[in-house]
Amino acid sequence: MKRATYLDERKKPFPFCPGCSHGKVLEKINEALLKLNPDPKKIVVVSDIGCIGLSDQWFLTHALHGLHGRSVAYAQGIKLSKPELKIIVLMGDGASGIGGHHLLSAARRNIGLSVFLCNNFNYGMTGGQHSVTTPENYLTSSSLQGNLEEALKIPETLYLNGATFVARRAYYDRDLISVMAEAIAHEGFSLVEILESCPAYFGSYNAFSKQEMEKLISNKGLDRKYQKVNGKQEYTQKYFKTKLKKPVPLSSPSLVPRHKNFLGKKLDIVIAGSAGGKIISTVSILARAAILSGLYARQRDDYPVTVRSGYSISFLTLGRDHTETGDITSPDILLILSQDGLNRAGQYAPKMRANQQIYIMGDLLPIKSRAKKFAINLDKTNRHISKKNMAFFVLGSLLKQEKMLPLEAFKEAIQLRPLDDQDEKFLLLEKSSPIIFIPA
Amino acid sequence: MAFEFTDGTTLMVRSCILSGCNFYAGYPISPASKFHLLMMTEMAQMGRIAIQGEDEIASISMAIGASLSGKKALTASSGPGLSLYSESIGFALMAEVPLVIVIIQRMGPATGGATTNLEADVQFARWVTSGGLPMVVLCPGSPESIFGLMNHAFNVSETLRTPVIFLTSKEMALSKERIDSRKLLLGKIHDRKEFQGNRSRGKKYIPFNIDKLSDIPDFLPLGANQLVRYTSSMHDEKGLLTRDPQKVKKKLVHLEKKILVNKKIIDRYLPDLDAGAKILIIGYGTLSRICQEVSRRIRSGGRKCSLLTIESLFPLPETALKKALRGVESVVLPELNSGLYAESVKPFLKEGQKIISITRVDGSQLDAGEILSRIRSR
Repeated sequence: MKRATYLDERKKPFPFCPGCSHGKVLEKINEALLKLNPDPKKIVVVSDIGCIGLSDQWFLTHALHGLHGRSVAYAQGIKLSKPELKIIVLMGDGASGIGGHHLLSAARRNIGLSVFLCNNFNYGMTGGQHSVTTPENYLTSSSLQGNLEEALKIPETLYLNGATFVARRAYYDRDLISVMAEAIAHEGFSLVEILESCPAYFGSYNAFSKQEMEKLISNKGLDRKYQKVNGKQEYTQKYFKTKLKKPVPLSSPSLVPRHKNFLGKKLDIVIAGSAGGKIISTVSILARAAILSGLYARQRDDYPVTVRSGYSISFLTLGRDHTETGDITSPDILLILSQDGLNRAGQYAPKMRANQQIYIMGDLLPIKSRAKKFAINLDKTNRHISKKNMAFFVLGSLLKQEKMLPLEAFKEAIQLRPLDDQDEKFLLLEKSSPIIFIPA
Repeated sequence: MAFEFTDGTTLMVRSCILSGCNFYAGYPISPASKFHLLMMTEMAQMGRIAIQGEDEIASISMAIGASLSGKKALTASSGPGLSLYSESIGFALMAEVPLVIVIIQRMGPATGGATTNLEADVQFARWVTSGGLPMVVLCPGSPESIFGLMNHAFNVSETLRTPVIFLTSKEMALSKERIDSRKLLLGKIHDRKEFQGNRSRGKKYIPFNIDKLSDIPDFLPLGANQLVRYTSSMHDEKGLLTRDPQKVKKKLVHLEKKILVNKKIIDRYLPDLDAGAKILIIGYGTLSRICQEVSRRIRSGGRKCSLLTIESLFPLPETALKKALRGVESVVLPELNSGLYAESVKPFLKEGQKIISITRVDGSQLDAGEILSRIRSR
């Protein structure tokens, strides 16, 4: 079926100023669509703010009209959701400024949109202010001294950044319709910049005519362009064809309590070390072991924004049942494994009581506190404990000393998640021992 | 009996997946980065759509485009991202776009404290955009309730065709604890109503057609068999721009009424009222469970104490609040901000009733002992 028009002819004329070229451009888009003859129910015209943003209402297609400069972003959401649709974006040069970032990213993705950038060199809707495409030295209502800025060359920029079809034409060019049709038929990202005339503002400020436009084109490097790249896959198709290189399990292991525990009352433990010391994951193993032993466990972690440097602290609360106590401020057990850890968690030591315990690396002593103090001396083990294994080794030793829950539960917790270093962990656990703790 | 040891973020992502969310667009930010990461991988694994936008505005805009194409869409961020979402949330309100927005609060304003907890975006979430319309803000009181509340967020968003903010904080999102798997209840899933033809107007689809002002217009996606038109600008029932005062008024009253008249659908609260109690504790967010502990301790000391846990922060569950306030002399409202929610509760107080706003803004948690001692000192 050959269609007669994609425009709502009954609604005409278009709402633009006399002499404005937007209407001519819309007619040409219509002509381009007629050449291709797609089902209008498979087309979405997406527009945003600016005079050209009024035009979606004249199309007999699906339409979405949104916020200034964001049309390209809505269009990508639509394309990803319904890849079978043709998405036509109508935007002005104003939108290409405020939403330029979206244009760049859409081009980089090579997502299947056809963008018609209607560049009339100024903000027509708000009174002719200069935009990112206003040529240098030209007058606008907000740059009466002559525009001080260099104009953004959008097709060139987008082509450099992955767009697979870019073109620039003046609104009166004879081949505009066929260029538009090619852009619409293109599978990946396409953009056609159409140099337009705004008689109300830019035109009147700069005594603009077709001859002036041609001068502007040659003097300001706005040459007619047509560049196309074949063979690059469109983003949506690529998305659905590409599998994750490394699948991640989202479910956490089911924990059925089957061990006894020896915990009398709620126990607050703080383990403070450095990033890279596997503090957080080691404490999670202990927490799971506690749950396997019928206890409640809660873990909070503290680290700076740069996660691979500085301190790493875990706060662990174990209890017979769920308890709400807020932050731990006076831990029953404070483990300090590094200078970073001491700097951050040393503040708890003075608040601790005589029935509480501090375990601290020997070289970090002395520490002021009424709590019972132990120096951690890894030389006692006759083996080298690497930084990443230290928390695990010390916690294993602590478990053997404090006996709040059975080692069997800890071993089961290690096996819950498939860890690369499981064997190493079992060996370390075997070698761990309270002999590394020396009363200080 | 089976437990798991996990964090709020993982539970949020799992409930999103189970609720049928099939479009995610987001931009990483602490403390919501883990949420972003899990959504990006999990959605891709399931053949659903997830994309990392170039910024928060791109992300929410993609989600709006997707929702209007029929997807159950979601975006997620923290306070700084919510600032950037502002205008787009207005779009979602105006064009009646179902959309769930997860906000994991951190210390603000501005870049604030990226890994420091604070729950001070409560009123910001409520008044996030221009136009003064009601906004739905849900806030889980425990990790277990995340599951059902997230599905509720989608249900409200889909059935009332409105953006819903799911507000939580670093503390809830990243703390891990023992979770009783039996308490993870999703509830029923309710999707938006698709247009099937209409008695008075026939088979022709009119995108914003309603009979009563509180009605929710039937939905057809972009790309449907009938042409549809959506817009962020003031529009008539056909989605065409209008300045006609009658049509403008109809639209704005409709946007207000569809939330307020259907408030009962949104309400989520847990009353634990003690007849004859002179004290009412109101808990929300991460302090909900600490408030339960406070009330337990007051009661174990032989005093009567009522407790109201609120998960639908806005619109306020007025009926439940009024009932809980009956006969009470003082209302205790602990918050991890300068007392922001207390401002919304105050208009409901009768003469002689006072509010004890207990606040903390240093990034640390309020505990039961401190709340109790601050109640005593007042």
